[in-house]
Parts: sequence; C-alpha cells; structure tokens
Amino acid sequence: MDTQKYHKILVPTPDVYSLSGAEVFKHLERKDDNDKNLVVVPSQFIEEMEIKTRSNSYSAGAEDVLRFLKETIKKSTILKRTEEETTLVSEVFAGLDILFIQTKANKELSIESLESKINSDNRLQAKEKILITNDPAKHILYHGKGLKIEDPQFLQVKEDIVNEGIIDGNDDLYEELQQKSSDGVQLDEATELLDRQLYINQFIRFRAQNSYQYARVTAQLERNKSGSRIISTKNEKVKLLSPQEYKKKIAISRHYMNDILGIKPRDMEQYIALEYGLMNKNVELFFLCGAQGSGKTLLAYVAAIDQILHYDKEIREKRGSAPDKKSGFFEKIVLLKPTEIFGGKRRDIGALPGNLYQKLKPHLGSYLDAHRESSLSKLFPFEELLLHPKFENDFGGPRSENLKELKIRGEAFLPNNTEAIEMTYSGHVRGRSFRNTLILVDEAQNFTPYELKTIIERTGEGCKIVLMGDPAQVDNPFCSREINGLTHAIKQYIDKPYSALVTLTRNYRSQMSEDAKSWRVFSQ
Amino acid sequence: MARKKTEKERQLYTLIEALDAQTDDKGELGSLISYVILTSLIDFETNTGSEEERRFEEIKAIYTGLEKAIERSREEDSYSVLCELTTQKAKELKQILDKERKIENETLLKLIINSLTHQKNYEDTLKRKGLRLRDNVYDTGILYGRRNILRKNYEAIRDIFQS
Repeated sequence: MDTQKYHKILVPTPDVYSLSGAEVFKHLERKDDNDKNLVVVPSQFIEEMEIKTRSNSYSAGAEDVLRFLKETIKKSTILKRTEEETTLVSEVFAGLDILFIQTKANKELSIESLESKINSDNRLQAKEKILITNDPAKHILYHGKGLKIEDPQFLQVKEDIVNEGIIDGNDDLYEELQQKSSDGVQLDEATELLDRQLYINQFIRFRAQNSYQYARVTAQLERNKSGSRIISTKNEKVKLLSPQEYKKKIAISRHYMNDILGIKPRDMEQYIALEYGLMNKNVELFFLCGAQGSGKTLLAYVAAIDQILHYDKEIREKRGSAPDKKSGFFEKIVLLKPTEIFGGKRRDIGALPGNLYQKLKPHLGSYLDAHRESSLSKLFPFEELLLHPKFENDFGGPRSENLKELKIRGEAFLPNNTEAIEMTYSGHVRGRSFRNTLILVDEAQNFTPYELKTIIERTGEGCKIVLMGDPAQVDNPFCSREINGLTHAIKQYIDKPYSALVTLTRNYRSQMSEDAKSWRVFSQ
Repeated sequence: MARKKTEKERQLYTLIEALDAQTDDKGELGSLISYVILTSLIDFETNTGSEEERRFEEIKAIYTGLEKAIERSREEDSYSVLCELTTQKAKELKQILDKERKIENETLLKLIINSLTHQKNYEDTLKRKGLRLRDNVYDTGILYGRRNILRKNYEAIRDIFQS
C-alpha cells in the first residue's frame, strides 16, 4: 500500500459501538470525493465487545458492529505482519477505510502505544487523530495523553427536543388564528409567521387573556389501499382547539368519556396527551415525556387498557371500530422495560432467580400504582391481566373464572382470547415481532439509541408504540442526557405524520418529592 | 435557645427555587424566568464603575426582578405575573428587537437581544432558555461568596442566552 493520506484517523471505543451499532461507520465516513477517513479497530476493542456480547450485557449494538466487522475483514488486505502484530486495512465505503490492529491476546491496550503505532506507520497520515468515546472513564484516563479525545457528537441530541411537542406561539399567529377561527391557518402561513418548521400533530400554546389557548397542526392523511401506511398528507393547517375541549372530555369518535377507567386529565397537557396521542388511532408512535410525578405512566396505562377492551356492539360503533368484530383497537398490551440496572451495573435479567413475573415484578411498580389508582383496582388485581383466559402461562393462571362475565364500566369485557398484558424486557425483544399490539415502553431514556431502534423495528401491522421517559432521569451508565434512545427516537420520528410528542410539565407529587430533585449529598 | 439563622446569599438558585414553588407549569416557569430577566434589564441603567461592577449591578437588578415576581406570584398567580410582564414591556421589547431603540453599551441585555433578533417566535426560545437556566442553576447548586455568586450567576445567564 502506498502512503495513504486520510482526512481524519478516528478511534471509536466500544461504548460508541454499543450505543449506535454499525450505523456509526456511516457517520464516520468522509463525504468528500477526494478524501477519506480511517477508523482504527484494535483487537482489544474486539475482545471487549465480545465479552459484552457473551455476557449479554448491553450488547445489541456491539453485536451488530462485530457482524459488520466480520464481513469487512474478509475484504481486507494485510498491511504488515510481524510476530507481535498484524495490521489489515479494508475499504468499507468510498470515504472510509477500517484498519484492524491485531496484537497478541491479553495484551493490554494503552493509548500511547496506539498513538505511536499510528504515528510510526508512514503509510497512515492524517490531519487529525481522534479518540471518540462517551465513556467518562476513558475521557479521564486518556486526556492529555496524545490523541485528541471527543464525545461522539454525531450521537448527541439536545434534550430540549422534548419541548418540541407543545411549543409557545407568538401574537401574530394567535391573531391570525382568531380571525380565521374554525377554518384554521394554512401550515405554510403559520410556518412563515413563526419562522420555524412545524410538524403534524404538534401543538402551539398561546398566552391569552385569562388562560392558555392551544392550537394543533392538523392534516388529512391519505393512506394506501390496505390502510396500513400513510402515503401523503394534504390540507395541512393549524387550528385552535374548540372551547369545549377545555372541559377535557375525551372523545373517541362519538364515544365521549369524562374519565378513562376513573382517571380524568388534570390539565390541558394531560388532555392533549390522552385525546391526541394515547387515544388517537392515527398516532402510531407517541412520545410521552415528563418528570417523575407528571402522570405519564398512569395516563398511558389506563388509555392502553381502554383500547384492548371488547366494548359492546353499540359502543364499538360509536368508537369507529368494526361493530361486527368483537375486539378492541389492539389485541393486547406489551409492557417493555429496559434490561435491569443494579447499582450502576447493567446485567441481563436471566441471571436473577425466580420466574419471569418474580423477576419483573419489582420493576412494575409504576404500573401497579397506576392500576391501584384506576377504577380497575376495585374489580381485580393487576396480576389477572397477565394471565391467559384459558391456559397457564409463565405467570400462572388461567385467569379467574368470574372475570369472564365481568363487565367493565358496564359496557366492556377483558379480551377473552389472550392475555391482556404481556411483560417483557429489552433483552427478550430481539427475534420477536408484534402485530395489533400496543407497546408501552417505560423509561425509554435508559435504552441506547440502537436498542430502541431494534424495538421499533419489531413492530408489525396494527401496532402502536408509546415511548415514555425523561432525559433528565438517565440511570443507564452508558446513556446520557444527550445520548439516549428517547431523544434519538424523537429526532428520528418527530416529522412523521404518524407520530406525536407531548411533554407533561406539571408535577403532581409532593413538595418533598420536588425538593429531592435538588438534594445534594452534603452535610452542610 | 433559638438557633442562629444563617441566611443564604441572594442568588439565582434560591430565587428561582422560590419562583418555581409558585409555578406549577414548568413551561410557564421558563417563560417567567426569561421575561423577568429581560424586563429587569430593560429598566436597568448605570454607567458607573468598572465593567465587572456594572455586570454585578445587572445581576442585582435581575435578583430584584425575581423577588418582585415571587411576591406578585404569591399575591396573584404566576400566569397573571407573566401576562403582566409581557404586556407591560411588550412595546419596549419590540422596539429593541426591531432596532428602533438602541442599546448603547455591551450589556447583558444587548447580548440577549442579539440572540433573539430575527426570531419571529422568540416566545418559545425564551421559554426554553429560561428552563435551561433553571436546570443549570439547580445542577450547580448553592453558591458561596458574594462576588463569586454574582460572577457565576452572570456567566450562567450569559452562556445560556448566548448559545
């Protein structure tokens, strides 16, 4: 190989691969005809990723990268082979080569040795040599030791993105909306007045004389023949909510409800979340963000249960579902949690004793609380929803006999052909695919972008995903406020006509709970 | 015997915390923080002292603005205070943003206005910057030392509104 001048030589560490999967290589490609970047992969990083994969800990992204590198190395050419070390190079894209440095097994990697390897090889020249890591320990260990160290900026999304669901509007648009009243303002005009991009299903809040007024970006959705996909949107407008909506009564087509299983929206944001997100059939991907105590789980839980109930024929007609088909909007609910986190160390749930329910129960507290707050708690315990109506499953069962005839709200039954709720965790999702399922993903900020991508990929026809979370509450040591599955997914999907985002900004917990947020571990 | 009270120095942390307690809606809190800062600075005038002294005076004016907002929120509610602030100073703010009224010195107000100029919907930007300032102040925690507090609070506002 002749001397190859690279634009940049990049050394991403295994944590970057775990966060993003093989997609990372596309980001690192130099998009310039006359130039390319080089990614260096030392064998120690491969070993680190392999250990992660074998221990099934936080491994999905790393696994994806290993598969990619396996194919890449097949096309490589050997640059140098000595007793101590072999280096191979492979072109993966027009703007990116990968350099494999294979050293003897168990040989520790030091950043100094890596840098000297790169520097000593005259064939590898670049303007910049950068170690890319999101791992705080690596930042501390390698800072000032030669290579420039950067965060993986291409993975960062501002946590502020959660505020995109309901934005504040200006007087110019509000005046225009008032003048045009029920006709609404064309999206182009509204975009011009606010001088920013607006998305379908986005809300705009205005300070009116006595209270906030809300407007919504609406559109007519044109679907394909089977109705499974939105192929275009037309007549995009911004419309003020009608005065009746401030009474916060939920309407599914012509089925009006003061509450959903005993839960009433407590403020307009909760109403918007229920009416236009959780209960909206056209919204297939809904992001529900908010701090602890804002009511995310409670709203999502009751809305989900309501949508799997088998309502009486008359009500089904009112709700706009096929009156002859005894079913809800979805067949069942899947509750999905990130793999467990204990004391900052992430490990697979399979390592714990007990059956799946015993393993998962400690992490279902928020749903158990939601069940207790709902009117369902007076009818049956939460566990009944996990049981199959006829057979035994991992959680026991079958479902209690008396629930077969039990009418909820006097007009609906639990689904009689399947469990109402299936619980699973992220480690179990790979290899699955869901149909006609409502998937509730809690603590989405604790998923890596790659993990959440793989979950969304699993959804089939008739599914809806509700992603709940708060970027300020990241517990996964590999994620951060800027790099996590939730904000990444929002960025990816916010402009899709089938998605919507609401952030609940009111907290309904106690004053001491609020104060705990600023609790500092100092004695004085 | 009563314990001697130790009074925390006047600073953004305690003032924003007090305002936060009066406001249930966090979006509203963000707007309120930003509008208090803006309106306090619109009214602020000084040409004396060193640059640092002037900066300190600007921050003190913001403290006073926040104290008034807390008091007014106690008497009425935070929504009324926000509406009052925005309507009272709307004309002046528009004049400044439209460059009809010039800001002479390199002040904090000028810096904030520069970041908002050409934005038709600065309301949303102000809400978000206010929330970011709250998060920043909470993350940093209570500060100590009079001059240190003033300096750090100034830098926090400057950095957030400049970005």
